[in-house]
Amino acid sequence: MELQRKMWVLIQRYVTGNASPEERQVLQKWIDKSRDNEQVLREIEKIWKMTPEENFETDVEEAWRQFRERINQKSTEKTVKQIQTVRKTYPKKSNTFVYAMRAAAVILVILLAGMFSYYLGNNNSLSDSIAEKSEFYQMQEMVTSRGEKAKVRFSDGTEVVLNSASSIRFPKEFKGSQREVYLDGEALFKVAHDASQLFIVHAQGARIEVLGTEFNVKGWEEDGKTEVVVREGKVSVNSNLSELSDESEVILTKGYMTELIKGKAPQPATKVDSNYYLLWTSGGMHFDNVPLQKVFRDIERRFDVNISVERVDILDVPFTSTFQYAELNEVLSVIAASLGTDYARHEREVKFY
Amino acid sequence: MSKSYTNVDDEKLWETFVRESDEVAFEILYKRYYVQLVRFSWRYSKSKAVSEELVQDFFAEIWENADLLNLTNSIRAYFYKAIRNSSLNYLKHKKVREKYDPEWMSMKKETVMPEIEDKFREEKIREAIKEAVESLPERSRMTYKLHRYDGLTYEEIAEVMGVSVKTVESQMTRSLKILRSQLSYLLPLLLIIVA
Repeated sequence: MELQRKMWVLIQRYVTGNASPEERQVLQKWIDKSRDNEQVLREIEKIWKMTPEENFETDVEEAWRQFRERINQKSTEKTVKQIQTVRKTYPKKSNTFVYAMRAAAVILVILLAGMFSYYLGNNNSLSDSIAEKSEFYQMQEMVTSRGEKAKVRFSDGTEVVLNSASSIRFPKEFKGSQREVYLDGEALFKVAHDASQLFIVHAQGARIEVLGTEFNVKGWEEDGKTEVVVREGKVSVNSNLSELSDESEVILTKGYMTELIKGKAPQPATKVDSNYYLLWTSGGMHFDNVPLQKVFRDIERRFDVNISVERVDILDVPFTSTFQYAELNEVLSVIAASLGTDYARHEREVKFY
Repeated sequence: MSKSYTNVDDEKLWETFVRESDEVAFEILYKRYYVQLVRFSWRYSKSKAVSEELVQDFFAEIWENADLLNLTNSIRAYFYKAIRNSSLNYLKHKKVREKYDPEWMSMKKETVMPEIEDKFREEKIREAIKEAVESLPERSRMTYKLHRYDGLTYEEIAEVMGVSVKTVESQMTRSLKILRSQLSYLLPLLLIIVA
């Protein structure tokens, strides 16, 4: 007996558990009609149900162990790769000039606290508590030379892109109620959110407090000021002088910036396009009404060159320009053109006339 | 931090892993699907070692690119689909694919009535069913197994196999039809067995 296609579909749905209540009713009526019908249904049901399991075994725990090993290896490779990729964004050569790129050096700095515990030697209980502290104070430092950039990932997952000629000190592991790092130079922070641990950046004269957000801090000691721009979230910027605290706090939200001159309270927040302030992370440069003296410092750090001027008065001239991707010669030419003058370059030495 | 994940669905686990880099969530997903995916791959590759490698590669890839994957639908379907692709890719490179039974290959019509002794009856029947399932056309066989053993829904199977739900259904209907005619000699016995 040849069954209708429609009936076959119903049987199939019923047997595999895909039939709706209405379909089951239709089917019920159909099997009630004849014993043959019922038999067909039961046969197919049996075939479906008695289809034996495949004989297949594999050790999932062992597989997971191997997987973990593989992932751990990969993640070390990845960190190294990231630093290399960041460095690759620099122009490798420009006419007669080859920029030397050096690997970012990670220097382990063990601070005095560590030494103390050593000195105190056998005094057990005391040295124990200090040893605990010393571990807490064990700081690491990432330092970039001129012409380099680096990416650092802290134990809490916070990521930092460090600009050229900058350094950041951070504990091996964040403990206690605060995550504190110390910056000299410029860095973009992507802070991992953790409501129970405040994240604090100490920069030139500034103390920046956050819970979890993305922001840029620019503060070289030689510049004597710190600039903070927020890309995402909310941060609090304060002077690091205790007598100035409290009333001098400036709250920054997305797209706002402040400037802080060492020893003074931060400026009121102003609205900016934060993308410009982060251009450096992708190889660009941005200057908005910046005195040439400061522009030159940025160029020196970024391209590892020394810039001298014949006429000192040009150092105060404000300069405005944006380079999506900065090439040394291009940047120098644009500056020279804006001054209506010329420049000469010999390897690392640049001179403006 | 002790979280209980026992009854958390795949999508939630994946989201937790992506958002919080929670490795435990990933581990649970991994252990939930490792064996199934290796078995699925093995239905194509016929090599356990190859399948294990393909599945490990797959997990390593999603581990690394988690934030790039926008998985909003069935995670399970995504997993199976990826494994199907890599398994077929493996076969293509191995150039064994042409040896593989093409879609709707002609069925072996001759069926020899096996001698069935009473005590082995049930076992023999299961064996015969298994053989019949294995001789189904490839795509129908995969679909049949994905529903029967892996518990994928028709929608998920459609996504994995890259066909419409309608096609999945007609493959299933056809498979059952084929199995019944293949096993016609067993039918009288089938009904007296309590499955």
